[in-house]
Amino acid sequence: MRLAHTAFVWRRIWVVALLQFLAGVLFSAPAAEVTNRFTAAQSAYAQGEFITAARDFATMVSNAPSAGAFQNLGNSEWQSGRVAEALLAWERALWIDPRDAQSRNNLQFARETAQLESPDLTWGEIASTWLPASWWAWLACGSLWFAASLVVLPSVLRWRKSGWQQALMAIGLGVFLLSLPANYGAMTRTKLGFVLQAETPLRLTPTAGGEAATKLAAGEPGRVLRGRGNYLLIRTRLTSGWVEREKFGLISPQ
Amino acid sequence: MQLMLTQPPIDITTNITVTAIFDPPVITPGGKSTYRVTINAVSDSIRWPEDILAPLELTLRQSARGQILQPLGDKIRPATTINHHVTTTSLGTFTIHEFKLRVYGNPVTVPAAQLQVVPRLNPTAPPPPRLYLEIAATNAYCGQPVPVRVYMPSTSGNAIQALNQVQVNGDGILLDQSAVRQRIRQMEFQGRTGPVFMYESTITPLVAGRLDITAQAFTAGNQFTGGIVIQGNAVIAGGPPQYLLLDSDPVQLEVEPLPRNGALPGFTGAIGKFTAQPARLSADAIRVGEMVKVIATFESDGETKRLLAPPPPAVTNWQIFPPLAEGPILTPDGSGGFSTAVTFSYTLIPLTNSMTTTPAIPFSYFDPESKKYVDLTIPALPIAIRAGQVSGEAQALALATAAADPNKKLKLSPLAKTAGRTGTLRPLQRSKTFYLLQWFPLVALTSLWYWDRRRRFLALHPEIVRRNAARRALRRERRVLRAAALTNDEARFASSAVQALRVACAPHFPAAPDALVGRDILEVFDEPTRQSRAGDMVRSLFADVDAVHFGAVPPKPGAMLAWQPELDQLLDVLEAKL
Repeated sequence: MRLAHTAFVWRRIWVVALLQFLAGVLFSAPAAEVTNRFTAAQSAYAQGEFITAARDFATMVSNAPSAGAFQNLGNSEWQSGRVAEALLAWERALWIDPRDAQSRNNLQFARETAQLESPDLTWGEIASTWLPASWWAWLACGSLWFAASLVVLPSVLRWRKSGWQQALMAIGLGVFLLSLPANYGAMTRTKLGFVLQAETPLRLTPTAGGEAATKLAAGEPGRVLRGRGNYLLIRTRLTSGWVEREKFGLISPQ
Repeated sequence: MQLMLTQPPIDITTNITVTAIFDPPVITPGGKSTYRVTINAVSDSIRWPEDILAPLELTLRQSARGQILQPLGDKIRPATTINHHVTTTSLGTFTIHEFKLRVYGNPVTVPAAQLQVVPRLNPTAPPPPRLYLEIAATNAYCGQPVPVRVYMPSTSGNAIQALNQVQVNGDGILLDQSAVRQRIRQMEFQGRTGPVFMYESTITPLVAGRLDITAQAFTAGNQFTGGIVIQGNAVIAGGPPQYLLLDSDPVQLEVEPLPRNGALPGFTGAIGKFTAQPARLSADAIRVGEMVKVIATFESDGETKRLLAPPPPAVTNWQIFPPLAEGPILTPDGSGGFSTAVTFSYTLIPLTNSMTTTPAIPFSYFDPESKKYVDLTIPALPIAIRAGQVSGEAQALALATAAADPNKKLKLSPLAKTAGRTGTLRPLQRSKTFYLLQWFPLVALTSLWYWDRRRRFLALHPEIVRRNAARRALRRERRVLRAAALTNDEARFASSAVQALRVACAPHFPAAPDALVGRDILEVFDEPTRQSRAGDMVRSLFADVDAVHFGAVPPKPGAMLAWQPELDQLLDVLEAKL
């Protein structure tokens, strides 16, 4: 009996060691590469090579989007004089981590410096900025199924009906209902974006020869209403019209 | 549109005439002449060549280009003049031959012009009209107003002309057109005493570095524009003016950026030398909610057109409105210059009566001579504030101002040290997989609910459970029965047949199948069936099984297997009853 137990323990140790080895082989090399690239981009920024730093940070966020990389990308773009790209990067940093105080500060600083307005958000969209967008989705489905399981499981498990079950169910249902506007806000926020090029014409028709109703400044916020071909119909604070797709950057790329 | 219709049209239909001259046509080696080409066309229509084919001994540099519109009857006639400075060190006669250029898209010929370079000039020849530029300082700071003067001395006798369209050219400078003064003054200039036309203004360099600044203007005869002061003897010739484009030699201005070190609060771009008169209050004693004005006057040497008021400080107990400026008021200083005075008035409303002074208002300027920032803060002034009523808005403003951190100034944050939280820019709400995943808990919970409902139903109806169990057991026994028949195993056949009958009839009592005997089985059937061959078969089967188990005489071989067809029919009937 004792021998069997010892063999079982050794077998378990071997399995754990093997799993750790495999995890190290699979994940340590990419993690080290990411860290090296991050450090190299930081060094380039420190030496004033902002364009190089921006390119490196852009490569990082395209492979593995992270709040820190987006924040640093925004700083690099700002130092390179690309205001709209910097705003977009900081907004994306806040999208991933709404508690990123530095990106929030940078956005405020940039808008004050460049005299740009922030996008108009509905109250549902404002609520959706309190947590990462995907967290709202998990919160909604988790609370819904939690409430539903509290309806089904006590009966299945022959639990006696009690007040705490109903209270928990009500809480779960309440959280679900309260999270719905934020979820809707997170979805509508994916339509928000910024004009990337200065003097971007806002056309009346989605054609290259369409009459320009006005010209938009780089970094001006807008909301995509629909797309057609190479053009997007956007609504800005004052008017709406068509802009070319490559001249408008969405916070959440489609 | 009405204005456009009432303006006389610009004449672009008259034949193009081009004149080209050297002014003066005779110079000494090392002297300077101006190669001047005048075309009666608008400037934008002339495609002037980048290089002019000139003798190698001549050095040409384009120095000015201007256009003037001359009224001619009911039309306006444009005339464009292009000047080149020409210098040479060689003696002789040099000709710039005729060449072609395009005006209004048509080819036009510029006639040849000749320059003579002689060892000595005729001393009786009148000097050509020249323009001179003088800048008050050759070193300045970005944003520092620098006075400039453009001179045109008289040519022969005391004859003097007016200047029109005076321009001060250079990259990165701003000419203050509102600070222009013109005068004709008797003075010694370039070794000659006589009347000199002076054009004075102020330029503000906007970029750092070495700037080349020139001046250009058209002579305009006796046609003065704007006010002019004439001092001393001057002869102003009559007749139509002869518009000659003159330009000056370039003057260099070294511009430095303002030093960043030592900047003081309240610096609004004031550069120069300023003094402050004692600030004063409009009232010495007020009540809470009443307004009082702080009036501060600043004076500067020279002409200062623009002096921005320092912004009011953010304080909690005062509501301070943006300042109003009066001035600038120019005062002659007796040495031919001016001093400027600007007065700022700040309107303040006390929100509490706890203060004994007004807040100090920081102000500073940069002194280019000492190269330092100088503090000229408007000091705190004593005031008596009595209790009074203050509006709700003012109270809210006081609270909001107190809550705000006045020292907080936004700046770009440093780089993040780590990659931080990772995530995706595409939210789950837009992912189809996320919605498909929701089917798993839905199906699981629904299945659990249905299972529990069925279980409760069966608990209330146990006969269904028994019948279902009996049906399953009956099918199992019939399989055994058929197998026994195939192998001619009569004992097994008989026991399986009896067990099948018991299983099929047990739910009708209800009772355990093993507890039933042959009579119990027969009770399930109606009387005709009991009296029929089926009844006989049941009795016979039970009797045979009892005989096998308990009797000494075994049943006749083959007798039980013979019952199989009737037995199958009977079991079908019983199965149907379940």
